[in-house]
Amino acid sequence: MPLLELQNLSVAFGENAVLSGVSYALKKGERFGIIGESGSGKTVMSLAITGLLPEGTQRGGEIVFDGTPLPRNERDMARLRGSRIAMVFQEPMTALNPLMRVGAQIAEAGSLAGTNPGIENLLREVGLDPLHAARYPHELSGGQRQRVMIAIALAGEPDLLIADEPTSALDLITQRRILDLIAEVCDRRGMALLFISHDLKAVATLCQRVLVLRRGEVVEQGRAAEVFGTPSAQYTRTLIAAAKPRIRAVAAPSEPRPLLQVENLARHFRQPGRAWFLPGAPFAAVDGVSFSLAQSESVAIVGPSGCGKTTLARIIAGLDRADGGRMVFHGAASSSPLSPHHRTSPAEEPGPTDTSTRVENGNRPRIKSGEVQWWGERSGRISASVDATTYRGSDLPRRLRRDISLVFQDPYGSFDPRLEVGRAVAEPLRLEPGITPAERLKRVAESVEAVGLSPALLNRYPHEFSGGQRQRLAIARALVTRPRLVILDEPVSALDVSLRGDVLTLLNRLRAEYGLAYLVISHDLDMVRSVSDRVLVMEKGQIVEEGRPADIFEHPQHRLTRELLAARLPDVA
Amino acid sequence: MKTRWHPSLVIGLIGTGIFLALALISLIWTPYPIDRIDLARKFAGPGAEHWLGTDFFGRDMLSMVMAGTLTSFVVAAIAVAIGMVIGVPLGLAAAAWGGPVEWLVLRVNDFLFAFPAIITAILITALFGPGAINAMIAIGIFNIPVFARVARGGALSLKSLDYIGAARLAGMGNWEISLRHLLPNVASLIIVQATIQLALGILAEAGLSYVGLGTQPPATSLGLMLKDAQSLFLLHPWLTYVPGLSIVLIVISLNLAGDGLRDMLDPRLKREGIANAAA
Repeated sequence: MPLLELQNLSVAFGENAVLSGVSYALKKGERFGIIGESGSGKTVMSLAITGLLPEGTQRGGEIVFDGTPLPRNERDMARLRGSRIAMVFQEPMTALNPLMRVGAQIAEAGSLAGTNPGIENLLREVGLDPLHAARYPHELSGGQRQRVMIAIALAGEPDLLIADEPTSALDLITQRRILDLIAEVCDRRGMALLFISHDLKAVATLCQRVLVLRRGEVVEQGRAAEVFGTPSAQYTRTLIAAAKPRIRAVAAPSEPRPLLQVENLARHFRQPGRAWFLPGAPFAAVDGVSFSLAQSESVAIVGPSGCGKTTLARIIAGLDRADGGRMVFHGAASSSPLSPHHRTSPAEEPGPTDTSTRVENGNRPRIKSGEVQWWGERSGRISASVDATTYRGSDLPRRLRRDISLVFQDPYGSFDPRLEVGRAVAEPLRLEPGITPAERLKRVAESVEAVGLSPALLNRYPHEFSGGQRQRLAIARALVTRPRLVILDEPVSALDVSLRGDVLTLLNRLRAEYGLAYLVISHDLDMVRSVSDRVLVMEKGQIVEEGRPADIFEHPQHRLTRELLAARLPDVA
Repeated sequence: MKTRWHPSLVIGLIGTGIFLALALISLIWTPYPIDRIDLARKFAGPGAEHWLGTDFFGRDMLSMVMAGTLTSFVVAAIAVAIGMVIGVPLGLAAAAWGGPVEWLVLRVNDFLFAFPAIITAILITALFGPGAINAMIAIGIFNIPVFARVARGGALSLKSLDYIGAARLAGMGNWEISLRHLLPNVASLIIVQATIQLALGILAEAGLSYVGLGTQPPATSLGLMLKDAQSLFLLHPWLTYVPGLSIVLIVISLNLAGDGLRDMLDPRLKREGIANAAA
C-alpha cells in the first residue's frame, strides 16, 4: 500500500488552474523527487499535501495518506502534520521563530506530536553540537539553521518528510552537506521523502523516482535513472540539457594593461558587544585582499557564504568604503569621444524564451571557443591617455562611476516596483554629462537589444517580467553607460537552473562584443568555469588560492578549494 | 492585477463622501443662513421646515451641521497637510542620510511626542488667541512627528534593497533617491496614515472648539455646536445628538476608509500570499 497517493489532484486559485490532474504514489521509505521550474506549481502541491493551501483555493481530486483520505477538518489535519508529515522549508531564517531558542522550538515540535525524542539526540542526529540548543536562530549560520529545521521536522518522528527547495538559499558546500544529511536521516529512519526542487542534479543525487512538473501538469514520471537517461518528453530533455551547460569561457586577447588593482583592501564591521560601553571586537569581512584585473579580463572570486566576497564587490563598485588599503582604477582620462560600440543587429539574437534553453555552443560565428574575434576595438577609449585613480570605495569619483557597474544578485529586488523598467535602465545615464534625450533613448534601446529584449517592453513595470528577463534587464542597466568593468554578484544563482545557461551565454557574448572586463562573484565553481579566465578562492576575508579555472579544477591546492570541488553534485545521467 | 474593493473601504468612502458633499454644498447653499437668529422658532424639533430642528437661538441645525462639517474638514485637512509637508521630508531625510540627521529628527520627534497633543494645542491657542487658524497650526504640529515616523520606517525597510544600491551607483544623491525611489514606495503608507490623521484632526478640532479655543462664533463647527448645547443637554438632548453623532459618523467613516485603503495598498496584508507561493 502506498504511503501517499495523489489521485488526479488539481488546485485552482479562482480562474487560474495551478495544478491539474496530478497523480502519483509514494511508497514507504521511498525518496521521490518533484522537478519543476518557478511557477510550475510544485510548492502549491506540497501545500496541498500538508493541508496548508491558502483560503479561497479550490482543490479537486483526492490525496490519500496511508490508506485514508486526508481529513478536511483542520484539527485532524494539524495532528497529522505534526506527527506523520513533516516539512522543511526553503528559507530557514524565516521558518524559525527569531525570539525562541532553537532547543525550545525543537521541544515544541516534539511535545505537539506527543513524542519525547530528546533534544540532544536530535541535534546530534542532524550533526549539530547539543550546545546549539541554547542559541537563537540569528546566532546560527544558514546551514545550521536548516539542520535545526530538519531536527524540528524529525521531532515528531514523521513517516513522510517534504523538503521544498531546502538548499536553494545555501552555498554549494552547505548544500551538499544538507543533501547528504537528508539522505542519511531518511535511510536510518526508513522515512519517505518528497523532495521538491528546480535543480536536477540535487534531485538526481537524492531520489529514486522522479516526476517532472510543468505549468501544473505532469510531463513525465518514472525511475530517476530512466527519466534522466532516456527522457521521453521534449521538456525533460531541455531541462537535462540545461543542467549541464557546455559553455566555454571566451578567451580574452592578452592585454597586459591593468584595469583595476586592489591593494591590501580591508573592511571591518563593528560587532555588538555586551553593552554599549563595551564594544565587541571588530569583524574583518575583507582582510587584506590584493589582486589585479587586466583590461578585458574576467576574474572570478569564489567562496562560501560569509567569506566577504559581496562586501568586496560593493567596495569596488563604490557602494561601501574600505577602512584599509586602496584600489587603483585605470580609467580613461577624458570623458571625450567614446567610440560607439560595434554590435550585431538585434535580429541575430533570438529573444529569451521561457520554455526552451538554447545551449549556445559555438553556433554563433564570432564566439568560437578558444578563438574569439573581438569586436568593439575600442581604440578611441583605450588608447586615450589613461589616468590611474586611487579610491577606497564610496569616494569613487563621479567621472569614473560609469566605467564600473554592478549587476545585483537578486533580479527581484534590484528594480523599483513603481518605476517603468525603461526609466530604471536609463538611470545610470545621468553619469554621462550632457546627454540629449534622444541619445538617451537610443542608448537604452541599444543596451536592451544587446541583452536580447525588445525596446518595446520598456514602458512596462518590473512585475510584468520573469526572473530571467529581469536579470537581462539588470545586465542592460549595467551596460548602458558602456562600462569597462562589470561586477557580477552571483548573476545566476537566483534563477532557475534552466535559465542559467542562457544568461551565462549572454554574458560571454557581451564580453566578446564589448571587450568588457568582468569580476564575477559566486559560490559555484561550475558557473565560474564557464565565464572566467582566472579564479580567486576566498575564505574569511582572505584570498587563499588563485589560478586558471582548469588548474583549479585539476590541482586544487587549498582545503577550501577541494571542499568546493567535492561539493559539486554529480551530473545527471 | 485586479483591484479588489474592500467592503470597509466602500462603506468608509461613501460615508466620508456624504459628509464631504454636505460640507461643500454649504459653501454655496444652506437651507437657512447659519447666522440667522429667529428666537420665535427656538428649540423646534425636527420637522418639515427645519429637518433637524433649531437650536436655542432658533438657528437651523441642518445648516449649522453642514457649515460645521466644512470647518472640521478644512481644519483637519490643513493640519494633515502641514504634518505631511514637513514630516514626510524629515522622515525621508532621516532614513536617507542616517547618522546625525537621523538622530536630530528622532529627538525632535521624541520631544513632540512627549507632550500630550491636545494640552499643547490648548497652550498654543491660549497664547496666540483662539481661532480656526491657530487650531490648524496646533494640530498640524502634532502631525509632523507622526508622518516623519511613518516615512522613516517605510524608507528604512526599502533602503537595503538592491534598487536603492543601483540608484546610488547611478550617481544619485540622497535627495534624488528619496524623491524618485523612496517617496513613491512609501506613498501608500503615508496616504493611509493621512486618513487616520484626518479623523484624529477632526476630533482634535472638535475638542479645541469644545473648550472654546477653536472656531469662534458666528462661524460654527461641530465642536462648537456641542459646547453650545451642553448646558441644555438635559432639557434638549437632541441638540447634542446632532453634532455628536455627526462627529462619530465622520470619524468612523474615515477610519473605515483608512483601514480599507491599508488593506488594499499594503501588499503584506493582501490575501495574495497564494500568488507568491505559486511563483
